[in-house]
Amino acid sequence: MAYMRPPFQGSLVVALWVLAAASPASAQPAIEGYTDYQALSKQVEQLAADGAEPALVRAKSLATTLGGREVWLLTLGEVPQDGHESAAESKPPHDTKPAILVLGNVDATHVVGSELAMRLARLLAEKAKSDDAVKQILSRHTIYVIPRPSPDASEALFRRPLVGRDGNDRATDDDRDFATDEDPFEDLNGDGLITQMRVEEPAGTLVPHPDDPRVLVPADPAQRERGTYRVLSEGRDNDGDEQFNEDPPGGVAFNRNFTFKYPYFERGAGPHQVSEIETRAVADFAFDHPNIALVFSFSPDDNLMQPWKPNPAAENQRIKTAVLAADATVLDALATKYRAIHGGKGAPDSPSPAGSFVHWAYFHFGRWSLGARAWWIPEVPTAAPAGDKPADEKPVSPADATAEAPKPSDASKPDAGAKPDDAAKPAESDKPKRAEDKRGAADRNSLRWFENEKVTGFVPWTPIEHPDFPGRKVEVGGFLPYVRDNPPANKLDELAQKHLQFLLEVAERLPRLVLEEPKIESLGAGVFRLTTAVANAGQMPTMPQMGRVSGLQYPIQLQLEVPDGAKLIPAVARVRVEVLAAGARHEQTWLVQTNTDSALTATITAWAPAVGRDRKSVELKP
Amino acid sequence: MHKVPRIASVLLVVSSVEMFAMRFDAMAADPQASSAAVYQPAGAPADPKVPAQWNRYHLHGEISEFLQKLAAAHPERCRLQDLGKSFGGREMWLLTIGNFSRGELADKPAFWIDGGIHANEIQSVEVVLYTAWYLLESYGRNPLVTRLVDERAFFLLPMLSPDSRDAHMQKANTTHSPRSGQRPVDDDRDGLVDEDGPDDLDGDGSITQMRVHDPNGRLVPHAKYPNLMIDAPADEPGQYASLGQEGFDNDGDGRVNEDADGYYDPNRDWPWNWQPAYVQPGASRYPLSILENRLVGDFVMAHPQIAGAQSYHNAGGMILRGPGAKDDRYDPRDIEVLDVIGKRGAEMLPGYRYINIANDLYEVYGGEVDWFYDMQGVFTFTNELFTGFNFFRKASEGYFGSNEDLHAFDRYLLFGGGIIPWREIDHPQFGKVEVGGFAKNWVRQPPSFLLEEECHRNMAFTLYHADQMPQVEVQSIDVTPLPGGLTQVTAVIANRKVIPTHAAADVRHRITPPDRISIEGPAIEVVLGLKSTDRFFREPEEQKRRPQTLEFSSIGGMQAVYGRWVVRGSGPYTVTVVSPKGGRATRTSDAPQ
Repeated sequence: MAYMRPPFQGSLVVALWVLAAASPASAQPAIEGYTDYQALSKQVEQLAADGAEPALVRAKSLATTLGGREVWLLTLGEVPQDGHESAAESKPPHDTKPAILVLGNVDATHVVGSELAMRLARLLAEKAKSDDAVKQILSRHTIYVIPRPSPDASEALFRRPLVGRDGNDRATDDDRDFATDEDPFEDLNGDGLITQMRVEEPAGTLVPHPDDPRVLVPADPAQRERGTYRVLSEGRDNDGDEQFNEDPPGGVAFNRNFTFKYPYFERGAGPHQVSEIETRAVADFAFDHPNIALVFSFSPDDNLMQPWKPNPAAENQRIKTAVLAADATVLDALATKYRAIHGGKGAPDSPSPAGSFVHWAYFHFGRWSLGARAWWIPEVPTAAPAGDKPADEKPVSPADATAEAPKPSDASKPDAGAKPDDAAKPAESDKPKRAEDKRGAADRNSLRWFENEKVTGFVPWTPIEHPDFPGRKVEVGGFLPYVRDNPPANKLDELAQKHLQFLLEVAERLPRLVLEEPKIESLGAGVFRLTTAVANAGQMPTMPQMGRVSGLQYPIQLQLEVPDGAKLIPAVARVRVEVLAAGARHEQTWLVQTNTDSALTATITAWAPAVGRDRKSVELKP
Repeated sequence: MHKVPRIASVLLVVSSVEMFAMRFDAMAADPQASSAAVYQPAGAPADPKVPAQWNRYHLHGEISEFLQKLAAAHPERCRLQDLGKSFGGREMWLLTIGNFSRGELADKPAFWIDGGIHANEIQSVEVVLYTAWYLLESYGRNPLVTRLVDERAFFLLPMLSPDSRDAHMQKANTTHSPRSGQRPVDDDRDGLVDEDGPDDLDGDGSITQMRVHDPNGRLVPHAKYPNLMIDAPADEPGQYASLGQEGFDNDGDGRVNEDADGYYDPNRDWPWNWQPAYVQPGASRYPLSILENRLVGDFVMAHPQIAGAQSYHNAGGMILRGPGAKDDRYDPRDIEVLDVIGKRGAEMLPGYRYINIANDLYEVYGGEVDWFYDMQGVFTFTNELFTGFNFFRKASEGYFGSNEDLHAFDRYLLFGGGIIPWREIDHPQFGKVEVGGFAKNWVRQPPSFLLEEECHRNMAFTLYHADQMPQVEVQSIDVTPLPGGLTQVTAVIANRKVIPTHAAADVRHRITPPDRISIEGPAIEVVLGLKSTDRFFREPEEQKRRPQTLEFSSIGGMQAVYGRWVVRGSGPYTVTVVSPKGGRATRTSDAPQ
């Protein structure tokens, strides 16, 4: 439904445009060089065409979104010679090998994930012949890559004005006022960017930081400061509800639509879990592929820089919400390797896991799940004299930012920038007077990094006439969307190489089934005792404990097939082995009776879709 | 001074004159003298347009035909649509019942009824069919039915899991199967799907039990009912051992019946408080991942006027309300409302108890009842049809009655028709064993002669529930001149039903829009608008934004709200209330002198 617009709007539009024309629209976002949907589709098709022979790469669309875009899936790997593990099912050969599922930007604003996923696929295809490790991963495993799971939302990066957006094309009622998309952002200064606005007001809670007045921080009463500013996202209160830009276009967020800790009734969550075309397509793809052993996602919901912490006291609770201790050990080892390869420090904290894909993949899909933020603004030392700052201090992260670039999630809060819990502790009196005022540290660090890297990430505060604040001082400026979550394009290749190295490392450690040479004992009268063992030759258990708890991962099947003329005593041909730890083995004995004088060949097979398979034949000679 | 305005329009009320006329027509239309013309039984009509038999169970195809006949015979009050095809390609029939010539259907509070979500719970379909038939055939004959059909809309979905309904009737099963749909599932995760279900070893259409003579077994036959196996006394040897359900190891993995029709539970698939299968057995991939449920979910979400719902199950004689899980809470104000209706139901349904699922039954995450309440704001019950109380009109044990009562009822009232005596068969693994036990068509289902009563009493409760859905009315408009050429207009908006226009859960999560009460007139300008829940406006709230349309988060059951406007310009004044779940009403007053 349409709401009445406040009557004073029309007359000021002209004034705004005049102002916009006067201010130089110089800001070229730092994300130049990223791939929009059309270009991505071409890359996917090209990669599939180049890799078609010998069937190394395949591309297909998992679904067409509401916005008419394809959710691309790339399948990489050599076609196995003998692909069928079960007579009852005939699967595409790639689906019979243990697989790694790679997700690009599960958070649509984190487009770097899409760029890196695409590069990973390309690197694998390019090095398929030349690099031994790549050759091995592609012969043992299938790599599924979904580079851009939420293409409608991701496309916001390529539109002007530039708005940070994680929701897809479904029209939603973000603020639950029973109107949809009724209060969008407006580019008030006409620079093609949706940034922020600061409003001078006596009841404001923010002040300019003493060292860098561009950054607004909470006023500190202990320093006798009084707030003078309120920060809002750039735009108007279109529906007259005294909130700004609280319901812009952009609907359901992929990374808030999954079942783990689903954020009911919250912005971006959707009408219910897995309600969207793209979330359903990805979830169904995953469930349809029991051969997926591990899920690697690019996501701000990281567990490689800051691994998940188990909670042994809560381990026996019915609903699991903390990584199980047994799995944490395995994940920690992978995370340690990741950090060594990546080399970055001071990664930001992860956002809420509510509805998150990375959490879903572990807790509700029962697989090893790795989430990589991949990039963040590194710490840039201040110009202040060395020694001013303790060396071991934990670097600040953007999550601490006091005045963030507008994110839809913050838009409904009137003072989007102000987080009282970040208010600096009162200055200790025994410190030197020029000791760094730590408020807004992440924001100020971002600004230093922009300067060093010549990145346009911040728009200087510039006064405008704002129709909702007649006669008041309002300035538009602040951080651009995207620039603090996505690196400049020239850093992508190096990041992709690092993540390829890590992926190869992960694949090397995955569990592997090996059948030991069977032992045959003749007990006389055509009766044989046949003993073998299946072992896990990898460096990880055959499934995470969560896979077992969830009941979603397939156990190992160990089966003896005997030809006519032989029968089993008792007649149990197939046994299941739930899990094998790294290096562990399970011994199995069968008793076989033959009723012929000639030698018979029996076959032993050990297999689990996500672990692999081994097969041995034995001769039963009377 | 002000004067009482003349009422220009009134709410929909069926006059008794009109109703008698309809009844007379129906009788006159019957040319032949028959008992139906002179002596109708109280209850269902004896001369319906569409004849029906309520002492037997029907296949999907028979039901399809019956529904088509109903829709053809009552086009002015009944529409039949197919929400989409089930996994097995069967129609998901949805029947809409209402008076299509009186107001827009979308403006009327609607009641949702479904049956057969657990397909083996077979009479839950017949009660929905009976309700549809009764509403249509008794319209114009019965005042309550006529009023409900005129004022309300009914959405009836008789078969939520139609593939498994046919499977239950056409294939070998127990009274308990299949509860799942027919989509194959690899329950034991061995790469084979549904490869080892129960087997009907004696070919009688029922899956019963297996026992074997075993001097070391711990079971003995019951002294009075030899078909009943009971534990041997602790100090006496037994004669038999149980081998479980009828079947063998179909796939050679040493286990019997470990992967039957693929187990997912359609009533653990709803989005509120959903948990995966390791927490809630039967949960499928994610909420509404079961095709048939998604069709229903999409329809319900697109019809926010649904204000009451009933999802029929069997058995045990229960009127169930949520919450399903102990970590969940219903708002006490909503529980009060449910209590009024549920307790009435317990009187209407002898042997039934009104209880809540989490505390009194067992925990259910992702149940349909909770989704209706918590995410759609709909007051919902699940009736568990049939109870052991029915056997001898006295309390019996367990959900289905005690074993002794079941065997006694079988002997004295079913004449042995409900229990298959033990008989010997050759088992591929175990050699000579015996099979026997309850036939699949009884225990959870009423026998023929109790089915119609079960249908009628449950329908009666559900119609009582439907009648308590909110119904807004503009009770009065009071016009008072003020100095300065202004006029004060006060409207009383009432809901004289038990259910509020918005559940507390609805208000808390902002599920449906508020009730909107607006004033209009050809020549008026609204100066201000006040809201009050008190007729004297002792603590009014001014609505500054858009005062012409006052918004109320809810109008309670048997309560009223009060809107007042100060307007410039002369009347008449038309006040309209639009409530997403409480209907709409309009009233116009005269201008003041």
